[in-house]
Parts: sequence; C-alpha cells; structure tokens
Amino acid sequence: MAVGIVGWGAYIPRYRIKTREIAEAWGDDALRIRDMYLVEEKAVGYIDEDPVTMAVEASRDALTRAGIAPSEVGAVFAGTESKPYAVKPISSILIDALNLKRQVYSVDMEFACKAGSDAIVNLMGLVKSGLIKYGIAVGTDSSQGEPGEHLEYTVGTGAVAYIIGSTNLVAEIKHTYPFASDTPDFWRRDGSPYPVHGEGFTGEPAYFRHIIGAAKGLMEELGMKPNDFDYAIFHQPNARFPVRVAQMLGFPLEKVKPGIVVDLIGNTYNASALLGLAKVLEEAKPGSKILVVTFGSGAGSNAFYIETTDLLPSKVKLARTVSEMLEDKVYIDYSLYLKYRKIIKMIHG
Amino acid sequence: MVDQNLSVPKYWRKIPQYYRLTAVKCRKCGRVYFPPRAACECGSREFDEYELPRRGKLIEYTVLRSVTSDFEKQRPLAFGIADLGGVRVFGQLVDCPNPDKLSEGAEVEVVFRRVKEDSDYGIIYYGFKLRPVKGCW
Amino acid sequence: MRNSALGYINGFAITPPGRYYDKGYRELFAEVALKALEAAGNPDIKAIYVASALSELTGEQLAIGNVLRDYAGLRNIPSIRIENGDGSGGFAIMTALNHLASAGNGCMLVVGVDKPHEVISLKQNKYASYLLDSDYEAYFGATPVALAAIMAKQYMRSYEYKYEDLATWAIKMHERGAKNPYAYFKRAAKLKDVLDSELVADPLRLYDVSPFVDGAAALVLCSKPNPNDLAIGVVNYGFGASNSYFASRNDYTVLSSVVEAAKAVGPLEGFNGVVSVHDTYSIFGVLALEALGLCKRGSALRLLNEGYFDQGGRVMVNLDGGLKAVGNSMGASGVYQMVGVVMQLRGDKPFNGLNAESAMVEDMVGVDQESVVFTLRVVK
Repeated sequence: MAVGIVGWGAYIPRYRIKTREIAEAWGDDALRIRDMYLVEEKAVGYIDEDPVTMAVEASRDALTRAGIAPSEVGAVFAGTESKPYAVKPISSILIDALNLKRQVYSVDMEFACKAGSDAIVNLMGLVKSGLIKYGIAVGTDSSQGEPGEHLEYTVGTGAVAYIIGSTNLVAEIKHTYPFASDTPDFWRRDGSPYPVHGEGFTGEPAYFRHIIGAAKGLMEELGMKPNDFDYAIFHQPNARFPVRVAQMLGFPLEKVKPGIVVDLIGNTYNASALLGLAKVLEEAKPGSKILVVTFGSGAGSNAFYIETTDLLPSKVKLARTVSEMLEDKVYIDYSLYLKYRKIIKMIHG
Repeated sequence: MVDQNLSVPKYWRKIPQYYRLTAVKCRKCGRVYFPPRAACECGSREFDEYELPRRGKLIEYTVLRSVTSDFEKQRPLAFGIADLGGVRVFGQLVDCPNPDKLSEGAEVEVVFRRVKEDSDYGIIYYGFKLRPVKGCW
Repeated sequence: MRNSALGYINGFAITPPGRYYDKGYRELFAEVALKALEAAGNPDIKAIYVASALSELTGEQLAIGNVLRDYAGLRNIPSIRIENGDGSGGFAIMTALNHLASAGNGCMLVVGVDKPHEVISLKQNKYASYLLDSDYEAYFGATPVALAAIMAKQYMRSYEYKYEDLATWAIKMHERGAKNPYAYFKRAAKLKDVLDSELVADPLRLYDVSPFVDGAAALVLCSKPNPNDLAIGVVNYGFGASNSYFASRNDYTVLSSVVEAAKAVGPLEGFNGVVSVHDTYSIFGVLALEALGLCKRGSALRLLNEGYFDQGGRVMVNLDGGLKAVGNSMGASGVYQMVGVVMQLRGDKPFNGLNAESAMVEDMVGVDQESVVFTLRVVK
C-alpha cells in the first residue's frame, strides 16, 4: 500500500528579530555570531501565539490542501518540546479546533526536535494497518532560548502539519529509516525553563552521527546514492550543520539550499526539516526524489525517502506558502522580543 | 489547590464558537445568528450549525488603552467589527500596530490565538481574533 | 380626583460623589436614606428598592438590602435589590413606581448606592466590562468605552464632525459642574485640556469618560404629594431595549433603546424644560439627545456647540454637569440624575431661577442595552 502526504500546511509568525539585535544586548560581536551560525534573523510569535495556535493554523492549511473533510481524519499526533501545558496535550485542542470527530487517536510526542517526524512515522503505521484513513502529524515549537546564551541566536518559532494517508498522495513516503541512541547532547530537566547543551558535543556524537546513520542506512537499504536524489533536506539547528552534513554525505549544495529556512527564521525545532520540506514541495516538480532526515537531541534521526506525484503542483497555491510567509515580516527590537516571548519575569500573566 | 479565577465550564462549552465561529442557521427562514441563540425572530426554534467563513471585511475598529486587569500586559488592545459572509462579528484585531493605515473595508482573516490565561497555573483560554491580511505597517 | 402622576417625589437626599475609602455601602446608604425619609416627613415605607450594580463585586455582599436596612435602623420593610448595570437606578425607580401603582397608596424608598473605589482601576474596568456580553465581548477584553468609541467614530464620520466638536461636551459639562457644589469635578475645562488628555479608546480621550465615583442617592416616592411643599410628580416612564451583541446592530450611530423608550413615554414634541441624559461617555450624551427626539439625527453636536442646550434655552441639558462632572456612580447614577432634575424643578441651589416646569430623565444600561425615560412635572 502506498502511503504518504495528502496535504500539508505551515505557519511562520510575522515578527522577526535580527541576531545583531540580540548580540548588541549581550555584548557579543554580531558579525562573529552571524558567521558562526549563518542565521540572519529569527521568527518570533506575538504574545498571544504559542505552539497550540501555530499548530491550528498549520493544520487548517493542511486540511485545505488535502481537500478532505475533518470527519475523515482518524488521528492527530503533535510533536513538540514547548508545550504550554506539561500535562494536557496540544493534540486534544486540535481535535476541537479542527472539528475532528470524537473517534480519533490523539497524543503528543516528545523526542526533542524529532517528534514531529515521529508523528509522521506513527501515522504511516496506522494508515498501513488500516486503523485510520488519514492522520494529521504536527511539528510545532516556540522553543525556549535562555537569554544571554548562544541558543538564543538560533531558536525560532514555527509549525508545520502533514496529513498522511494512502489515497490522492501529493508525495509518497517510499521508505523510512530510524537511527537512535542514548546520547545526551541537549536536554531540559522537568520544571527547568531553559535547556542545557554540550556545545561541541552536540555536533559529531549527536547531530552528525545520527543523521549520517539514518541517511546511510536508508540509502543502503534502497541501493540509492546521493546522485539519485533531487533534494536533500536536513534538520537545521543553524545554517552550517545541514550544509556540512550534506557535504559529508556527498550531496551537492544546490540540492540542499532549497530546503534551508533556518537562515531567515531560526531553528523551529519540531518544524525545522519539515518546514524545509514544505518549502521544497512548493517548487518540486512531479517525480522529484527527496531525502528528508530529521534529528532530535537525546538523540535520534528519522530518514525519509519521498517521491512527489502529479497531484502536487495543483495543491501548492491552495493555502499560504512558506515562501510567502518568509517575506511577510516585521522587525522588532530586543525589548519587544522579551515581552512577546514572556521572558520578563511577571507575577501574573 | 491554587485559586482558579477563570471558569473552565464557562469557556469549554463555548469552544465551538471560540475555535470555529460556529453560528446557527434557522431551518425555517435561513437567518444566521452569531452568537447563537435559542429562538429565531421568525419564531422557529430549529437551527443547524453553520461555521462562519474565515475571511471578511473590516467595518470599524478602535484601540483601547484603558484595559481590564486580565489584559494589563497586553495593552493596548485593538478591536474590530468584521463582516464575515454577511454576519457581523466583534473581535480583537491582531498583528496590526498601526490600524489607522487600514483602508475602509480592509480584508481580514480569522486566526486562532490565546486570549488570556489564569496566572501561571490556571487554564489558558483560546479563541478567534481578526487579522488584517495586509496594510497595517 | 385621579393622581396626575405615577408618583410624587416627597423627599430626596444625596451624598456628594467621590472616593469614600472611609465609608462602605452601609454608611452611604444610611446617610441618604435617613435624610430623604426625614425630608419626606418620615412616612411609612412599603418597600426599599436598592439600586446597585457592584454590591457583590466590590461589596462582596449578596442580598445587600438586608444589611443596609438593619444598619439604617429600618425594620420590617422588605428590600429588593435591583441590578441592571449602570441603569439600575432608573429601573429601580421604574419598579418602585409600578409597585406604588399596584399598592394604590403609600410610599417607597429608592436608594442607589455603589462603591467602585473599593477596588483599583484595572478591576473597575473589568467590572465595567461585565456590562457587555460576557462570552463574546468582555471575553476578548472589550470594555464599554471601546464600543462607545466605535459609535463616536461612525457618528463623526457620518455627519462630518471633528473630534474638537465632540470635545465640547466635556467642556460644557465641566462648566456646569463648576457651579454645582456636589459635582465631583468642579474645575472648568478648556479645549486644550481635552485635546491633551490621554487616549482611552480612540478617538475618545480621558475627558470624554465620566469618572467612577462612590455615591449614594435616595428618593422617597409616594402616591400623594406632600401638601406643604412643591409637588414634583413623575408623570410617565417608557422603556426600550436594543440587541445585546453590539456588532449585530444595524446602525452604530443611534441609541435605539433610547429611541424606543422615548416613543413609549412620548409624545415629546415641543418639550421644554430640563433634561438629564446618561452621559457615561460624551458620545452617549450627544446621541441620547437625538434619540430622545430633541433634535434631528446628526444635529446634536452642532446644536450643542451653538449653545442650544445651555441654561436659558428651551431645552436645558445636564445642568448639574452630567455623569461627566458629577461622576459615574454606576447603579446609583440614575437616582442622582432624578435628584438633579428635581432640584432643578424646585429651583434649589445652585439651580435657582430656572423657572422650569417639566423635566426628562434618560437612564441607560451599558452600551444601549436598555433604557428608561421618565417625564416629570411640577404639579400645581
């Protein structure tokens, strides 16, 4: 049974802060920072936006593109690491916001930045087994960046939603390959407001090892080489890592660039690579072969081999595109950033 | 337990209206009511649910600076009246710091946002708001 | 001989509105109730009507009539609390008049009392927002002034007025308040003061908004006039309603509940005398004049600016300074309005020499939810 993407949606909030603004607040050399991460600016939600609101916007667009009725959806899984409620799932709110039926499987998933893609894998299983006809996978984050710490330069805000099914596919997910281990490169303890990470340790032992492990594993099983792919999209904690891992795997830069969004909106965590995929779907011709490899700290990767269909081009303009949302922006300064991100300590909301 | 200042049931039963602008349409005369009501002006008490369209035109707006205690940190609040498919709806205007730049009848879309929350421990209220599609900057 | 009025105001008393941190609901109630009863010759009272919008919210008291009655030493008189937002006063008077009619004879005590200043301004705004639709307007943070602002914008645009034209309301109310010893704002205001004041909900500024005040006002309403005094009778009342959800209304430049109430109390053509309109916000005062039929739609602001509604004219409006200068005592405001016109009809200081024989009082709930209009006459 062919399984894949029936529709997709993305949401990037309007506000942006330049990394230069943040560097000035903390006495860092703005040019050196930009050179380290190749991130110019990042997306920021307004005070009234959060991973739930963004998930709703992205999912609504996904349903529009899929052209299915909400009552046909049998599952909604949300992958996130910045839930507004530690206990009370985003997926439950999506059920009513999207007018899904009550008979629906729903759960939130956590594996740092990978969970959005884990939702996709799980839904593929539910579709293949015949338990559901369609499922919505959401990757949404408004992640915590500790002020004055380097993660603040790259942590962005965004959401993406994919409707997985077996009919009317715009892109078939032909193969998947996971690669995971216990590698504590980046974590956030229960009750802690900000994550902690291992700096250089987040590189080779974590990001590179797992992405390469998953990508190579997938290509070996399929007997495919980098040349066989039209696009390669990787998780994007900054703009340097995906370019480097592409090099290490042997993918030329021009196949990687279309899927890079981090330089303009920052690392959207669970949306990251999947947002890159949404952007590529807007330009890819039918029959394009796409490699997507996500990564979540802790650590693990999911590699996907996706092939687009003839149905894809007609669906692109049915809802907001990533390209449009990348252009629709307004700059804010650091004080507004702190206010919108609720980093200023308040005694009440 | 922490004192809950915001009622949960009072919010929960309005979810179809807050999340999806679910109005009612009179089965007899077709008139649409938002907010929903129990009896139509034509006398009928039978209605069907009807979700208002999520795009419309802005009729009027204002910016409120003297806000209530719940919205102290969100001031000022812009409010607008939008015509959504022939039904007039009142809501907050968002993503619009300079509403005076909007032309009359500016296009607005309905978005899903946080409305308020009950301190750090209580419930988060979500609901619809109106976002001018362009022209606010 | 049949009574020519629904009821006669045989006694009245007010407390100058202000911030009474040293007095609560009980103290304010007792002050005015006992004074009003004394002025009426201490008649037997059939019922006490308490008009209060905020007694649960700021007084944390349900069934407030019971504690008030006890505190004032009034025994065995049933007390009924009337709540209809900032129109509680008018509706309490209306209810008391109805009761008087069904009783056939006797007296009723109506006391409006409210204390917004038990809480801070942000809380006052929150309680004011309870006047709107809780689920669909207040839920999103709207307060009545936001809707009044929308009405002001639409009115000014429809009839080509500038904000400076609307600012005249505040200036004239302050002028009147400066002559009124019981007004809260006794200082005259200049155009510059109004234009420089902070925006509350654009285009309305601080001077367009009546200030919250603590206050209490009492009336003794009887079926027969006091033979030893000037007889002021409430001749008639009418009430009307508009739709509750603001956005659904057909015309944001009309106070349609006031139009309905005026039709019900009518006919008002050729009215001359003193008028009290419920100017919670300047625009509400302006629109009320049109809704009452005292001038054509769209003309009130022009006429106001020409001095048409000033003292000495045929229709004298808000001579006490209105809610703008006297203050917005929420549930008590309608009773203050009534007392104001009674003093004007009697020629009590500071309203000497008016020679007015008729009066009209318009009390409104929230943003044109419901209204009640009374007509009064000096009965010879």
